[in-house]
Amino acid sequence: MRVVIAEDSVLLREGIGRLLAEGGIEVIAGVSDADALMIAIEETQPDLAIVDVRMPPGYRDEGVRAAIEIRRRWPSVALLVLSQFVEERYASELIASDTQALGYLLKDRVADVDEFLDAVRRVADGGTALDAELVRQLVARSRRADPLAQLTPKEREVLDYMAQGRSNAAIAETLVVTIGAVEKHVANIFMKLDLPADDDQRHRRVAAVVQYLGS
Amino acid sequence: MSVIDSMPRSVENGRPSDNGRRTRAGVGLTAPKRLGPTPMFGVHRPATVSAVDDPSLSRHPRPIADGSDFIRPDAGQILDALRGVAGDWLRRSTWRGAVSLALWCVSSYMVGLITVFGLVASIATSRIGGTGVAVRASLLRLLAELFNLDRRRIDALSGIRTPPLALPQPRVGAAPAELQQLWVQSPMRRRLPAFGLIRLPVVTAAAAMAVAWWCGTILGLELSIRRLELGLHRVHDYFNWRHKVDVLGVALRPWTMPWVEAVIVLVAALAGLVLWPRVQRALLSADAAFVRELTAWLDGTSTTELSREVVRLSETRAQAVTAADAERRRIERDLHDGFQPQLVNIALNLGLARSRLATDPEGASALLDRAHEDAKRATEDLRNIVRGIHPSVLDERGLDAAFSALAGSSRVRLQIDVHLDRRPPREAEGIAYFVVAEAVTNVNKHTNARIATVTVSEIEGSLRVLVQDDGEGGARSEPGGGLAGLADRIAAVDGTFTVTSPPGGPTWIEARIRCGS
Repeated sequence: MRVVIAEDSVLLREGIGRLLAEGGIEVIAGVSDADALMIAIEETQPDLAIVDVRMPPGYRDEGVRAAIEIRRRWPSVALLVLSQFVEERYASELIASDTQALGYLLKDRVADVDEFLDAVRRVADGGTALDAELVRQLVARSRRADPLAQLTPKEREVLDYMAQGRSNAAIAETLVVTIGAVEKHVANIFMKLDLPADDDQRHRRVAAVVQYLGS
Repeated sequence: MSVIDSMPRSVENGRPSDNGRRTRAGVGLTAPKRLGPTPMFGVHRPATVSAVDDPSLSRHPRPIADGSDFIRPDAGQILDALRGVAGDWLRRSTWRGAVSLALWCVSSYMVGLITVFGLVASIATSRIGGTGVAVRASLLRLLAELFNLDRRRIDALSGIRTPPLALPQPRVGAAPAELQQLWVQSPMRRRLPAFGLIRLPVVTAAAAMAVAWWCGTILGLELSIRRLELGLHRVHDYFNWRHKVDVLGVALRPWTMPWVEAVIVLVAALAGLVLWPRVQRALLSADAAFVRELTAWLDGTSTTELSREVVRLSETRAQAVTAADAERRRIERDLHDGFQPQLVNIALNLGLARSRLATDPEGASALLDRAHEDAKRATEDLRNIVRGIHPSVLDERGLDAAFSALAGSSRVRLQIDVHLDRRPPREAEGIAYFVVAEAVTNVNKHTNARIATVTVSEIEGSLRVLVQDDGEGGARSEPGGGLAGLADRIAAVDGTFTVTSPPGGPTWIEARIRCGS
């Protein structure tokens, strides 16, 4: 897997580089602003771009705008947005078109090396990795009082993890239950959200999450 | 003059122990005593100070360093008084004031005349659309220019500053008709002619008073001279006709009476002469005050309103400083008490882990785990502190976006409604955000509310922020508390802040922040 990192803090850029190298992921370019990121992606066509939100020159939302631009110009490049703060609004803008191969995590999450590497791989594989904090915001701001209301607290929790992009196995591990129990919950969720069974499993999963996020 | 000059110095020389007495007995009573240890005053003018301060003391000997125990009549004192009077007359400002007063009369009558003619002309032309407007606009403009000219007279000749009248400002390249409309519709359109007319009776009264004063003074001088003449005649008669008059001296009266009258009239006339500069000063300052009031009135503000505004502004400015101060202290406390110890603790655990690595790998591993967890928590805390200072998404995406993080971390469900057609100014947005953040913190901390609603809208040029919850109420704004801090911040931008929280609820926090229109 070939990764480009856009992060203006050298300390963090190199730290993430080391961390990815540890996980056998190749960092082919490290840049410190959005313009350089565009050039790097154009030249190297990486599998994944890890993008910081606040970058020079304005230290505002350059990373978000760059990510949206990348999505538009190079849809095949997976995006993992890292930020000191996660903001539901930025996430909504990113998710607006497509939740596939998209991640939005707090920078803090690099501290949990394995989870972070897992998220990186998941996003590169076309999955999603949304920060738990972000999911809380999305849920809190979701204005629809709708099929989701029928979910039991347990199912809601499972859906929450699904929204973060975790696999059933990972959810089972976190909740300390069997995979079978998780699968039962997932099936219930699909049923309650009225998602037909003949669809591709992954598509259904994304649809459930999208509905959940109310985007 | 020297009497007054010496007062502050003698007070300065007073010992602290005198302070109580000074307030009780007044400055004058203690002043002579304090002169004791100050030979400089004792030598030169002991009499001046004490005689003026308190005559009752002058009869008694007092401890004065140079030993001059008794008060002697001092020729210098009388000379000083005379010099003071002459000084008043010799001072340039007195003559400038006289010129100013003369100009005042002339200009007032001129302005009055122009006003009367102008009003007649504008009434006559009022039916003829364009011309009428032009006449009225010219009259108003002329009156305003004359007013400002008169104001400059006061500045230049009396040295009393008065604020200039704010004239309607046309935009660059405005057509004459547009400028005329500006004048005709300005708030001064009725007040300027009124000002022109009001001054007539005022200046007439003042002029009448000045004329009466001088007539009185000159006639008095003349009368006193005649009386003196008469007195001399009577004396002459008395000495020549003494033998023809009654021996008992009944004739005493006729020859002394003119003298007494002459002295009384002379004193009165001289007083008139001496006091004139002061009267003139009083007239001038009355004139300046009159013009200042008129300016305020013409501008549509009164000085009492303005001074009230000044008081209010300085209060809110103080509140803004307090709020900023409290905020800085809170951040310092958060970093110092929350974040710093966490970092120290992490470093400590890491240090321990390193020293145990060789001897106790398991213990070291546990310490590393702890340090790792602590570091993550510290990052989270720091994130919250930084976001609490100012969420950057507020600048980038506005209030609604910034509220999401509050909603995400709130235990109580938040229902957020932001109805804004446009982005308010940054300051207003910032304050609105902190009102909601503080209110949400309070709801989570102090109530058992299930839901809180946040409504933001724009009403009459103000940003209205309303936070309601279904908790048990009883919220109070305590000094130094979050709500009081908010109230200070809002007051600093001319906003209003109300907390309604009866026991039993619901709580209703409303802020209105002026954001221009």
